[in-house]
Amino acid sequence: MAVDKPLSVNHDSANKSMKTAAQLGFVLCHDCHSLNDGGDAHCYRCKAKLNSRQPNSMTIAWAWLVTSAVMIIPANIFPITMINRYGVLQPDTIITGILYLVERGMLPIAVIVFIASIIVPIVKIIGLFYIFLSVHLKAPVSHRNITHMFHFIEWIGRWSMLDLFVISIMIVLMDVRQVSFEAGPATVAFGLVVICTMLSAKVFDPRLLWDREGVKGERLKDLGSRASHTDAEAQRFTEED
Amino acid sequence: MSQISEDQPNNLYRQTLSACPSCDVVMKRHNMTVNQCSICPRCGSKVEYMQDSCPQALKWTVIAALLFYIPANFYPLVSVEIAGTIQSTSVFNGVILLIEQQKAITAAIVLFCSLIVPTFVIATFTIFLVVRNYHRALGVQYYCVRLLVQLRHWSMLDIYLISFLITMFKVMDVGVVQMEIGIYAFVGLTLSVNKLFVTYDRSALWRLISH
Repeated sequence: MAVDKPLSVNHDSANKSMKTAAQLGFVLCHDCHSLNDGGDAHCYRCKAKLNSRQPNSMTIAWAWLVTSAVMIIPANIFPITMINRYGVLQPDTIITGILYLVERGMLPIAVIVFIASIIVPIVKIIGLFYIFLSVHLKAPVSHRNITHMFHFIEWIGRWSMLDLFVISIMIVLMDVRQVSFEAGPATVAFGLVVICTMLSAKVFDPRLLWDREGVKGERLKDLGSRASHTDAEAQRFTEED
Repeated sequence: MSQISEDQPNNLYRQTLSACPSCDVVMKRHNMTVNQCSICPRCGSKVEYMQDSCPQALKWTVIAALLFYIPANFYPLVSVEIAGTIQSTSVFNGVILLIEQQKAITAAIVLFCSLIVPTFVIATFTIFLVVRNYHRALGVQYYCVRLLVQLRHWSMLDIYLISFLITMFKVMDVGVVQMEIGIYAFVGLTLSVNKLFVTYDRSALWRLISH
């Protein structure tokens, strides 16, 4: 693997001497990942709007996260499926549904459903809370680990949708004369939990985490003069390497 | 791209430098070969993964996805015989039944992730290919790529397939399960859409545009 070399080789002071695009007067295009002049409004390559950081990232991310944290309560309390056996309605919440699977000896499936619909949403919500709080509180934590954790949460987010898909398939297949299968009120809440956590992770800008570190040693360059400096800076860094 | 760099003299940095999308650190751009991955020195995130993304393979994968699309979504996936009644399911059926049971929001979420987004993805890839081959209208290509990058997380065909397997295991001890033509097409569709997303990621698509 070709690992991009850091701008400075000395690892002790690596974080101090490594400079961010914002400090050097560049803006990274969010859509095509190309570097732009800090003064430009639109990306030179893809014409997308340029923002050094996602605007209002923390506020919007918190809003989605709090929504999902609220919605996870009805998602677990109300029945997610209702089985109608010979006229007798048997409601099942997520947890009783899993216990029912265990009773019937389908342990591997029970484990998959347990991970996808209980562990993953809770880990996601707690993980995002932890990440957002560490941005706000400037906690002395490893930013590297938190960035890895964030990418993991981003990746795993989609998989909680499993349970909803299972229900949407089950209601079609189990539509027999005496036995029928219905989606319960918790499905709406559960779906919203998954969507809201995904949106929260999407809106959050992990660079905010690193900005706390960067500003310690380095002062942000003057906005007005930086555009003329960019090329000279680039040349200097290329030569240094 | 080349046109713009001739107009503006001071953009050397665009060829030599890049920044990490996760921590914003500026680093030197390397010439990568196929199957190489660049990792950010500060945060350890993957910056770019160079893959063998030739336009020919893109064309055939999109054609495969288009062929699989109709049977995968509207033909029955499996049929199950429970107590003498035969029920067959398709992606679309499940959504309709959810609406009938007054779960419109759930139906919308399932519809969005398992049908609408994959449809958009395939349509956008098709438009991108056609425009790239004939008209070379760059603006349309930019929009296609930006849309594809955004849709990436919301296409959940692979998850739908896994949940399908889980449902089969659940139903198997109640009734007799029989595979229908739809399930083969659905596996094909899932594989081709995932191949599109994995091989033609953001950087690969931008490389296809600029060449």
